Amino acid sequence: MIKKTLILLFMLGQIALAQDPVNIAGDVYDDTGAPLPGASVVIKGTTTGVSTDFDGHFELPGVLATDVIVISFIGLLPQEITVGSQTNFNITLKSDASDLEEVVVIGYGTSKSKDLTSPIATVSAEEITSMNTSSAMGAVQGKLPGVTIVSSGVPGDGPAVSIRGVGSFEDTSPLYVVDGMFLDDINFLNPNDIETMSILKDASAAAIYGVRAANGVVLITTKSGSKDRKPTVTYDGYYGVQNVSQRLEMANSQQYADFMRASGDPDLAALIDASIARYGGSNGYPSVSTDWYEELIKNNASIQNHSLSLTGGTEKTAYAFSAGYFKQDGIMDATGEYERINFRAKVDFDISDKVKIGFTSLLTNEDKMTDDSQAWFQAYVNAPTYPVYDETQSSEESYPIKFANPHNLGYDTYYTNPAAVAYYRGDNKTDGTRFMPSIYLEVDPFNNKDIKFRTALNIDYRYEANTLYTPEYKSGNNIQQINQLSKTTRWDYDYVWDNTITWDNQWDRHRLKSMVGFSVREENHRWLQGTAQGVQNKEYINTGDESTTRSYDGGTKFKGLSAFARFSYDYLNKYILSVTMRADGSSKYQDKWGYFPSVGAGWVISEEDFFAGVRGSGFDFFKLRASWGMLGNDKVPANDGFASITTGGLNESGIFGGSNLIPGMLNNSVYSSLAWEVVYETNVGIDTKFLDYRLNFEADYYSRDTKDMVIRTVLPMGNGSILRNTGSVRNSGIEILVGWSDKVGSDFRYSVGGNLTTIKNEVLDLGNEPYIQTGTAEYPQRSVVGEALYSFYGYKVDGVYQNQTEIDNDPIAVANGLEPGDLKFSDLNKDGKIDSDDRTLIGKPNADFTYGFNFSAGYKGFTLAAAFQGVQGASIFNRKRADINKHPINNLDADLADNVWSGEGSSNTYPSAKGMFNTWNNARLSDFYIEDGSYFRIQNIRLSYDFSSDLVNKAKLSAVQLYINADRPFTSFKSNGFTPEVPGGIDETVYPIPSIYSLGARISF
Amino acid sequence: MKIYKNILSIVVILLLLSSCNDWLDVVQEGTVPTEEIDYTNISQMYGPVSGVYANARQNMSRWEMWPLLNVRGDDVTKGGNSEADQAGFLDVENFNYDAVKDFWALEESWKGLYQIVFTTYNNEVLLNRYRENITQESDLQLALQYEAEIKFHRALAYFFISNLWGDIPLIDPEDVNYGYPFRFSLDSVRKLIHSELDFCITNLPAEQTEHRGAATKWSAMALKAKLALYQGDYATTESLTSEIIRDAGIQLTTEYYQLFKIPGKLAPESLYEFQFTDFESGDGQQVYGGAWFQHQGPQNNPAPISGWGFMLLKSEYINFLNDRGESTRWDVAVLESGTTSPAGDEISLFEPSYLDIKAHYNGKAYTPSSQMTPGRVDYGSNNNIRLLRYADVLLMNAEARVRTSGDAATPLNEVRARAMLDPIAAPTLEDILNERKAEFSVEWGNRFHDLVRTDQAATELPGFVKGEHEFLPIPVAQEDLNPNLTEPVVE
Repeated sequence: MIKKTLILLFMLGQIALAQDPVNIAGDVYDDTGAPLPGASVVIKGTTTGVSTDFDGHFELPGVLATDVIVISFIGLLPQEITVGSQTNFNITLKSDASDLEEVVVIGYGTSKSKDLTSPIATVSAEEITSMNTSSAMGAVQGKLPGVTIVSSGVPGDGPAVSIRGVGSFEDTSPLYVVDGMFLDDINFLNPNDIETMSILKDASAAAIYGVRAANGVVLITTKSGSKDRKPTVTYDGYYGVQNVSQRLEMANSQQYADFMRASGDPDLAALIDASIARYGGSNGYPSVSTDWYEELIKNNASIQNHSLSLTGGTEKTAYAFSAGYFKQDGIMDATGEYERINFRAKVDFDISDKVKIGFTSLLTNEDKMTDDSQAWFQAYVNAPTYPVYDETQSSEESYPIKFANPHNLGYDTYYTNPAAVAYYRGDNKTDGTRFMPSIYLEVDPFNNKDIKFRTALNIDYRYEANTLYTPEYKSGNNIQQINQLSKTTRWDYDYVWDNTITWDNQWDRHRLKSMVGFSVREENHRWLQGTAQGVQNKEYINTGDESTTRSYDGGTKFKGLSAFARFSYDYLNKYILSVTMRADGSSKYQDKWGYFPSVGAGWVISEEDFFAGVRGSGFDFFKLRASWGMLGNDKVPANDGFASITTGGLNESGIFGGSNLIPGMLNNSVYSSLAWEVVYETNVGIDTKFLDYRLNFEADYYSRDTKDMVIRTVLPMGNGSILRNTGSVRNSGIEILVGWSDKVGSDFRYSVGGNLTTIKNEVLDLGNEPYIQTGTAEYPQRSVVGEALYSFYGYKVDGVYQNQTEIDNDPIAVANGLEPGDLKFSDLNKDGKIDSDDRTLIGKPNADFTYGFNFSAGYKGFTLAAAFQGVQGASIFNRKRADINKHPINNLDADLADNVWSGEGSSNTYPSAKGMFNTWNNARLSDFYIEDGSYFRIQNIRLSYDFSSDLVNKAKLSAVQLYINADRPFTSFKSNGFTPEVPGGIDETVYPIPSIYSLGARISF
Repeated sequence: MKIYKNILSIVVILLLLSSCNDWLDVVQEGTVPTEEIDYTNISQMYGPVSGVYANARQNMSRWEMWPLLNVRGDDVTKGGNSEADQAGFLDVENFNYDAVKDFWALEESWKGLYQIVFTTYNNEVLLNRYRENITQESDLQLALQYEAEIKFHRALAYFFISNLWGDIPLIDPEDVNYGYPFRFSLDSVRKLIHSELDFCITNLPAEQTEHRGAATKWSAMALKAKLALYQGDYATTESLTSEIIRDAGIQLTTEYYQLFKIPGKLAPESLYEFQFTDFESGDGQQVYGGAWFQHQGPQNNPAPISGWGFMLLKSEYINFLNDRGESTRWDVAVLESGTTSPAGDEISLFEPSYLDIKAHYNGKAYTPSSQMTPGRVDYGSNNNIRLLRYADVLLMNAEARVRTSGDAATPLNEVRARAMLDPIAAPTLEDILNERKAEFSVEWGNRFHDLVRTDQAATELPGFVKGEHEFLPIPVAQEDLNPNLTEPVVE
């Protein structure tokens, strides 16, 4: 050190004497006063520069007094200093409150936030881990405009994600790109491994992914190390319990008994009497009253996550290693659980100034036990009038466990003891291993030009083994005479090979960033299944009865080839233009090539001279942007393209002379000839910042037209269905994002934010069809031009006939033999009768708008943060309740039991109990079964404490945070179900979504 | 300059790759293109025919069609655990047709029956591809026979569709898949069925030795005779049935009790039946009639004699059998609850309140547990479903002869003798119709059609209005899919 100082002094003397190059040195700090390693120090206008070392120190030789040095660090405001006579510098970089310099990951590259022509939503690592969910997407719910998320309660299952509405009858989930690899979901990924997530919503951003981009793209960058950093070890973990805090209440035995007797049908009353006879009771009410949901729900099911990571770097290397463990128990009181172990390594290495190489590898092991969700449905339909166990049964009647049997009371085989279903059908195990290696090489061949060549190969190798074992059992007439084992293995091998050249070129006031590339990808899927009955060992097919062993196999293979380019131009940081183009070739379709262009433009009005005055008054930044482009969706099923034959199976083969099977064939002449769907998207938006960048306001209008939409058309006469590229649908709306953050004094800081998205879903054209009918024949859904996709199609209820006079005065009621308490349907065409011509659209499964808001307040070490979200305008079809149509002896939900019409004036929406057994009321899809799917939810509340750095440093740690967290503690909703989040708006068998209360810690050293 | 070279070379690579579309040619797995079957292998020519048998077997055994066919007669009511259980069938039974336009059973039965029609057309295409490669005359003959076996099933499907719905759409052979057909008058539909059956009668063999139980000439003649009977064309019925009686060499099954049970599978009396099997194994896969049997099985009875308790005989019908002293037929037609069956199965008592008597299940869907393969627990496992019987041929013959002043006593008394009933020397039309009522309980809607065609429906069936209730309404979901179904009928 002394030697260095001496040399420095010597140099100093030299400068004073002449304009000769000198050596300078200095230290760089962040605004908290901590040394900043890895900051870049460059002589402006040259590529000569160095990075600061571990202590934030730098030395730079050969500097002239007239030189300007630029000191920069990601996320901080760069500084420029004219060297002059000074040779030792103390530099503090201020944090960039405006986030305009924030680097955003875009397709095949990065961009500064201020240079974007698109509304790209970014999510930081902190936000992703702010909720305790197995999948990172769960944490995003309600936080970003335009991103709709429907949670799932099944352990290990990720939520359903859709971006800017439903624009396809087929798959609507976005493309996930994890460090360059194309994936269908990211449920396997440890949320702690994610550094940033960018959600590309409009065409200008997403079109670079061409045929995969129509549903939006989620770009994920996993954590890397940084050069010249000391190794840092971080532990992040939590432990929590899950509970179903809000549940669907069912009728108890007394209510059910009243309901059955009200039917006036002695055969239904006999079921109640059978319960009293077998299990006791008085006054006509059974003494047993089983709450089947109570029996199925597990309380305090555990959830836990532990992650350990090591990051750091040397002069030429950056590295990040991590290990994660996640375990979640299902909230059904059965075997369901999900366990995941992740290992990850990411290393970047500078071979020379010009060549960089990097390697990432991700290894995930998932073990999953899946509950039979049918148990939830059985819990809805089964009567409360029998107990869980019935020891009085003979061992022939019920074995090995003496589950009580509804058939003893006269129920048919549609009904099975829900506890028996959960117990016997839960041995469904899936073990999966996934290995995702990737390697890249980056060459920067020219000294004076910023041109980079990059080639990257990403591989995804998955192996999954499923074992489904059903033991020998008998529960009344539900019998598994011989045990059954089914084993399935699946292999997937996918790769993406990307090659890009980027050139960042600046001249005068112009800047042009160009990127061209080509990419090759392949997806291979293979599966093999074996089944056997009567196995001795439930692990092995070959211990089963040989005559029962069967095997099946299959697979798919797709290939893709793409070329793409992007040119981003800006003039004086004022006028921005971005043009992209992608040509995609796909093996899925006859017509193999598609072309997907996009153009985006931005005008930073706040940079204009005339804006200067406004700027002074608190209006800091104002950008106007617009984009248009085409996106493809090839997640539609592959094209058969030819008539095909199925042969040899039981369903295709005739039986002759007893048991002689002659292998037969069936000619399937209905086949599709498909091409990809194309989305034409237009986006207009503004980005504004006010009051020293504390207030942030963004608004976008979007309009997405899906053309050549692939529609499953049901053919008449029962000839199956066929996929066709016909029709188009528009999703349009506005997205608004507002945020405010500030500090008061040095100890108190707070922020509030909100977002709103409106989605108008409208069918524009259906080819030549007047409408497309989906759903079932009994409960149809129609898509009609000018209306929303999948609208429920049925009868409108005008009210309930209250008295005999009302009946007598209505010819419709007289003609159909109705009684007071029956529903009055709207005679829409006024023809004096109720028939299929009186049906209309009575609800739609998708929301009109979604919203979210959040706040956070911190004082010294304490931070309290909360997030809220909601959905408005969606309808839910209560399919569970409608099941009474075919199965009148089902139990009923408590809401129905409490509210049935019970005399004049008692209800004008619910029919009488007796009426619920009349097909007039129960057999048609009417708005009696349609419920409001709107909800408002407290998504998350978290209280955390960061220990002060003094204390932490004494313990030789670098940061310690403890927190308590409540996820989804309360939801306000009106529909009669466990959750208003039901896929497709049909509530049939929905796994309840639990609230999670947890305790966590984050410690690094 | 070097970068330009680099860019250039990449562009060249791209062009090479894109011109090389071959790399993107991937044939989908798991399917065999119709074009790629080896149609020169004539030994496989029965494949498309066997497929039609399988498809007809599956779609004709749909349980939801069975009540639609039968409950409109006066012999049987829908049954089930209460009146509200599948109440749509009760609306059908009471001729409350307005209430069933969106009843799922109509929709599914319609689709199932038309699926048979589609399959026959699609598989004829395959058969014709084999035929193009035939080099030997004997194989050409065989191809004609196979074509007739396929066409027989088309005739069968149209027969039932037109019986249920009357004026029905016909599939256009030139545009099988994508048309929106109009309805044709019942007369023109029946003309088509006749012409298909004429082809079958010419080309089907008298005996199917290789594929036992496959359609024969006699199957086609019996079906044609039945169609003629429904049309009131007694001369045709008479000549066809007489020919069968004279030339087919068929006898009634003497073991009457076993006729609908396992020993009665492919009995000589059977002119056509849908064949199922458990492959004589107690576990593993089976081809099983499923819900067709189960819905007719006894309610709340231990497996394997267990089902949903549908299709219960009415007290009027029970009295009818008793009044006639039908003790032999009773055991065939009735599975009485609260008793032990002649085959030794205890049937627990079931007394639904909607009936004035205890439950009498359909004996023709009953397979005794002692006849089942040990290990099987499904009601009716391994049993077939009978469709056309020689007893029907005899009684059609008798009826036609009564109406055309021929000898009706011989065929009638052959049927009566098997049921241990005394002969009738000079039978009247009423005698024959009553014999049909006793013989064909719960069989393919025979009773309802007999009442309709003899103009007794309005008097015998409460709620039936002539001209209104002969045919079911077309399912509303089908009208939604094909608006041409609501257009006027094409003659």
